[in-house]
Amino acid sequence: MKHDERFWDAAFSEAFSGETPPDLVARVLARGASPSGAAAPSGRRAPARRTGLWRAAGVFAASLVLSLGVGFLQALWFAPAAGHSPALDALAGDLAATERRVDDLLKSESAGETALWASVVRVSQSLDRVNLALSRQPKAESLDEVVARVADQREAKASELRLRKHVEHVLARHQRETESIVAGLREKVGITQEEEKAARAVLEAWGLRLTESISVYHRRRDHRRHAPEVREGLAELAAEAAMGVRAVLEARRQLAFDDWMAQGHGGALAQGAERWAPPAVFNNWDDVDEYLAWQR
Amino acid sequence: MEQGLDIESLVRAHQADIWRFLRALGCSAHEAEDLTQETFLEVMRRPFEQRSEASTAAYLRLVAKHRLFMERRKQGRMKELEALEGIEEQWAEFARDDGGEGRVEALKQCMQGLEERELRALDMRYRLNLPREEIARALGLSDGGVKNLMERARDKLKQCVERKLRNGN
Repeated sequence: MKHDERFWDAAFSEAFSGETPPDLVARVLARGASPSGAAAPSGRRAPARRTGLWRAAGVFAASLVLSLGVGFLQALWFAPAAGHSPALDALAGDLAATERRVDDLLKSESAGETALWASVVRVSQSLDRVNLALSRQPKAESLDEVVARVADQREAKASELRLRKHVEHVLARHQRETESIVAGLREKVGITQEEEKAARAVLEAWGLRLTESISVYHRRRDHRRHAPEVREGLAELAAEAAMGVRAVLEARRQLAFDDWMAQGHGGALAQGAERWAPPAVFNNWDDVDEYLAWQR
Repeated sequence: MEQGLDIESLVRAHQADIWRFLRALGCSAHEAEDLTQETFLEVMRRPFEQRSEASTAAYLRLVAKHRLFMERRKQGRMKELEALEGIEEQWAEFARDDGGEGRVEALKQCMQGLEERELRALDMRYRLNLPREEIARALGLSDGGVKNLMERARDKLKQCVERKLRNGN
């Protein structure tokens, strides 16, 4: 037997060291019963609704912009009256239109990602105009308040831009990775058409979860503090996706898949967090210009 | 549709086999314990149809091996897992139908038939994990000498174990 020596070494080790196999019944049952124990989502679970990745990413970005826009309007409602502003009317109109478009896209099968992004950009630009209109109104602010306000506005815009750029990067990358992984599965693992279809569904769900994770990361106030946790999370998502792809394969092809992965293939399935973010995202970095320079 | 999974019976019946299999794949005892646990938790997340003891054992080994792959991937230690094709089937043959328990018990009995120096050499190798040059120094032998001594002792044990297993001891 090819692996004979390895097996005997393990048996000698057990016999000489006095180690015995542990009794894990109680621990497995306890962990299995706890909410976070065995109940982690599996790669085989299909998304509740089949939305394209671009639509989903657009929904996340749109929801962020919508929440900023709605929050802005609410803040203005409670702020001292600043007078009627055409910019505010335009913003409210754009928000309503974007909400309607998000609902339509979620219901329809059409690839409306370009139009959705255009809506997101329009709302974002409306927010900018409102910003500008308000900033021109005379206000008795101290210098410190002005500095703080400008810094907050700059940070909010930078954060929004980082999110959009990051999600675009992840989506584009995921698309390329999916095709590369599927090509590898066809050539080296010999998957059937049905298995390919199921594997693509797993990979699509993975992409959705990637963009969710990235979006949540950028929305956090102190996102740098959460960077290591997000990195771990992205690596976990890759491992779960790999397990999910494996699970849709027939038993012999599962072995071929294991060997294919063991030889260093599998692309982003095997690469942890590195493919999804520039290293700077997980270090101390907040400069949009630096991000854009990395992008180039 | 799968039958309800009796996880307690499943763990009792297969935990030793999976732990030993993972040890054979190079895990430390502690790591093998964690990954064995992860294997059964994985099965709880994705129940499967249990057709026979043999196919259940085979499936659990596949899951365990994959958990190890994922762990090694995270650690950047994939090279350690090269050339493991077919290892599950060969393990099934080596461990037989008792998860390797009979083989280890036979081995412990056979150890009593070794000479003092052979026993010491293997003890230093497998219990204390000493490198060969240290064992050679402790026994007053050359490196080549201790290598031959340990190979002879291992062959003696293997033959003794195979005899006992054939005779049903």
